[in-house]
Amino acid sequence: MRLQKMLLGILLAGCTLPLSSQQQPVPAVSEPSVYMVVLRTSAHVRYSKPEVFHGFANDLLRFLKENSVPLKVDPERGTIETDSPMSVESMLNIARQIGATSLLFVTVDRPVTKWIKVSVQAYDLDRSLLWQEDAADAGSMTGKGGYKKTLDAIESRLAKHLGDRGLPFSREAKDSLKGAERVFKP
Amino acid sequence: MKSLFAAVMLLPLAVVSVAQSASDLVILSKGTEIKLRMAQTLTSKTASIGERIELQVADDVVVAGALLVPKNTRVLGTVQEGRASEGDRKNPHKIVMQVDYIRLGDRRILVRGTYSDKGKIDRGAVVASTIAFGLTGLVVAMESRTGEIKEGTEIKATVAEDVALLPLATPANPRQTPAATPAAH
Repeated sequence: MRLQKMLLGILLAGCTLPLSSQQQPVPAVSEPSVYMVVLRTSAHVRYSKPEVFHGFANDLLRFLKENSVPLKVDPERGTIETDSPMSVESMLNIARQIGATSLLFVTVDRPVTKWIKVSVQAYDLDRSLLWQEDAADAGSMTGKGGYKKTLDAIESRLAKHLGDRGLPFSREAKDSLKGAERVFKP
Repeated sequence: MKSLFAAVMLLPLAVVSVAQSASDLVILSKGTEIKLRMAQTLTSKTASIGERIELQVADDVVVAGALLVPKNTRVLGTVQEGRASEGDRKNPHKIVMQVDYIRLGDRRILVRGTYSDKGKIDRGAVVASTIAFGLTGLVVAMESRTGEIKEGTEIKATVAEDVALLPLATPANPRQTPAATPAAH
């Protein structure tokens, strides 16, 4: 009996060895998923704080997760939140290689006349811009107020695209929503 | 007893499959030069030490007619010299980055390569603008003293250790898996 188990073990090891040593191709795309990159402009680096930038990125991620948008996480870098400019083509290259079906490119800016300005662009893998939404605030008394207003504004604009191309629902969310009307969670 | 017999009978098949896969493997030798391309711009104004950076393989890596690493495969690197932290507002005028590895599927192929760029300090220009435009001119001139590695810059790296890889394509069997090739630019 022990010998039998040993032989089976050897067999299994023999079968799995070549699999573990070979390179894996790009993951197969099963259902729509979104890869998000957040870029901080040089003006934001100059006139604001990194905490504001990362805070906004986290708030947007929370909004997407709460609204059942299937986010693809890069195993190497997670969600890229960077100050270093990167072309859309490079971001799409990463999206393709991790198996996402669309790219959500968020830019956080700090123009001189505004507390914060946010731009969200959705691309498909063929580099077609699916849609773009912008929000900014200049009228608030404080930066905190400007942040809140801008976040609320961009969330309500993104809500229009929930369930469409660029911001699909996860399969589970779709199943649970059949027959029910979707209400977005701010 | 029957299953023991079956296991013994299957053993040679497993050995053959291992041997066959092993014979298909091609060695990407240590020291092989690989051309890489920056997939983002790095400037000393924004890059901070320890930040991860994106590069891509610039050309298909082919050994003995076998395609081992396709063009546009991701490469990861790290900033070695730059701002001390993200909140640091000093401009160090110099940026140094190190190339770490090629990410091929789930595998990491270690590579070695460094690239540095010192900010272009043209003292003549600083003096000239200071004279012509006063303080504003000086600020502009100082801002131009930035270390920068632009997206698209090509960098040569070398493979750090021997790696056995299954070819993605061979002359007899071109492009076995189209999905394995990241989309071209």
